[in-house]
Amino acid sequence: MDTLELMKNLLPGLKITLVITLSSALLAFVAAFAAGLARLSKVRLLRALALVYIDFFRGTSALVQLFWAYFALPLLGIELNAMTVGIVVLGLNIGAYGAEVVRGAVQAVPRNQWDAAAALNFTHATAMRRIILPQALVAMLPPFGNLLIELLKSTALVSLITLSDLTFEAQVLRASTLRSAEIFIIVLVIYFLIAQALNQGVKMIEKRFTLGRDYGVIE
Amino acid sequence: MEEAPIVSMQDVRKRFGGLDVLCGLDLEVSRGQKRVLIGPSGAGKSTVLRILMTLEDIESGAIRIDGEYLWMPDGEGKTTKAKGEALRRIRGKVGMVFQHFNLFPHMNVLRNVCEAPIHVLGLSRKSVEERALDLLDRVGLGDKASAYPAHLSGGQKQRVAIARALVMQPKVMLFDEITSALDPELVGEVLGVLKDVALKTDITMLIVTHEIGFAKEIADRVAYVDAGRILEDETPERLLRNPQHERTKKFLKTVLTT
Ligand SMILES: Nc1ncnc2c1ncn2[C@@H]1O[C@H](COP(=O)(O)OP(=O)(O)OP(=O)(O)O)[C@@H](O)[C@H]1O
Ligand SMILES: [Mg+2]
Repeated sequence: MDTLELMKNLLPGLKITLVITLSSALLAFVAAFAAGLARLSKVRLLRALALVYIDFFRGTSALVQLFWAYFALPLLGIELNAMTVGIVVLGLNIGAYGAEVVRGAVQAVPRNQWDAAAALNFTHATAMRRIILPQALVAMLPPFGNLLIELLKSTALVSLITLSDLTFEAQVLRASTLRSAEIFIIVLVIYFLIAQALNQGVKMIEKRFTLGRDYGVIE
Repeated sequence: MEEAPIVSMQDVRKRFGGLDVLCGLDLEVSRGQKRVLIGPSGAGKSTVLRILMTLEDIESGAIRIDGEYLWMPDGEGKTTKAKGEALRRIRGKVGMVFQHFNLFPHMNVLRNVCEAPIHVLGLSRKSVEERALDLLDRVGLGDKASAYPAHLSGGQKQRVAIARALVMQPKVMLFDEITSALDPELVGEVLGVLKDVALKTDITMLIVTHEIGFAKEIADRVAYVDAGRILEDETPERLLRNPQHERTKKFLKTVLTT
């Protein structure tokens, strides 16, 4: 088997890794905004719920969360396939960290922006949406980029709940070919390249959002 | 019969932490009046404006704006703030320009001005933009509509802020030391715009400023605020030529010699 063939054998695993990364990223994004904004809500119950979610997912190991959702939930009558468990658990896990990013970024927008919005008679919700969040988003993007890489790396854990992702396929291939060094170099490089691509993607979005402020006039 | 004042504050008390910032302040501003507030640092001038802009709450007292209670006392020392629709209606009658401009950095000049009329008043973008461009022309920034705040001088930013407040057509405009964050050479252009608004509109204006000469030019009345109270409230000529209180004299001496 030459190197190219080794890589070919890894392709199905790569696909699963990518699907899980992107789907959980989407879920994490939604969860981060929902929980991050709930943390800032005037409604005490929302704040409390968000805090429980965030602390639970940040305070326990992602691997144990995966095990629990995959092996323990069925005992309570909730059976989900491994793919769903992988996406939901990793998404909610990274979303919990993302929520703190959202909260911090919103709080970091200067108070005077709220004052200016109120002086123009914006409602709280409209001010949040049109004045505060667009500014906060710029501050969120770099930490979001980091979390995305964290997420990518943590997808390797799903091999332990029977999903044949990139890491899992690499293990299988190693068992059958015994070419450990070569295989894991390839796997390292693939993870690295995906991470670089994600990084570039986030950078592009960042650029798009800071355009006016850094580069002056947009015609 | 005299027309009811558009702004009336009665026996307003305000605390920050343990500090009494306003100690029974009374202020009445009649419709269309250009009223200047002067006074030493920490006297409570900004606080008065921020309360009228609904940005700060008060401990007790009555405040009416254009006939409606922003703060209504219950006769037993408590006072309650207008809520919901009433609060928004009152807030819509007041506009404010801040010392540090507070422009929206993620929007260009035109959007800074148009954002509220479109998304607060629900007006059509087309009609709003037309009016906004007129206003920008009027403040001398017709050619800066697509620039971002980061690329404007302080004086230009403040003129955008004035246009942004004007476009909402408030009945009362509050100006909080709008030239004191500017380099000296930029003060003139902003005062010029302010003067234009003062002379050519019937908007009621409350202006906090240390520019005594300017106050003299445009103010109908000047109030001297000290330690959370209005100590003197006079026509500019009378107050500047013949202040009654020692503290007023001292204050005027310091601002006029610097
Ligand atoms: N958010 C706040 N928290 C605590 N104290 C405050 C707050 N805002 C104002 N103060 C205090 O209230 C007092 C009055 O402040 P205010 O800003 O109204 O004064 P000012 O007359 O506008 O002074 P300046 O000329 O320096 O702007 C000051 O002692 C100030 O420290
Ligand atoms: Mg002040």
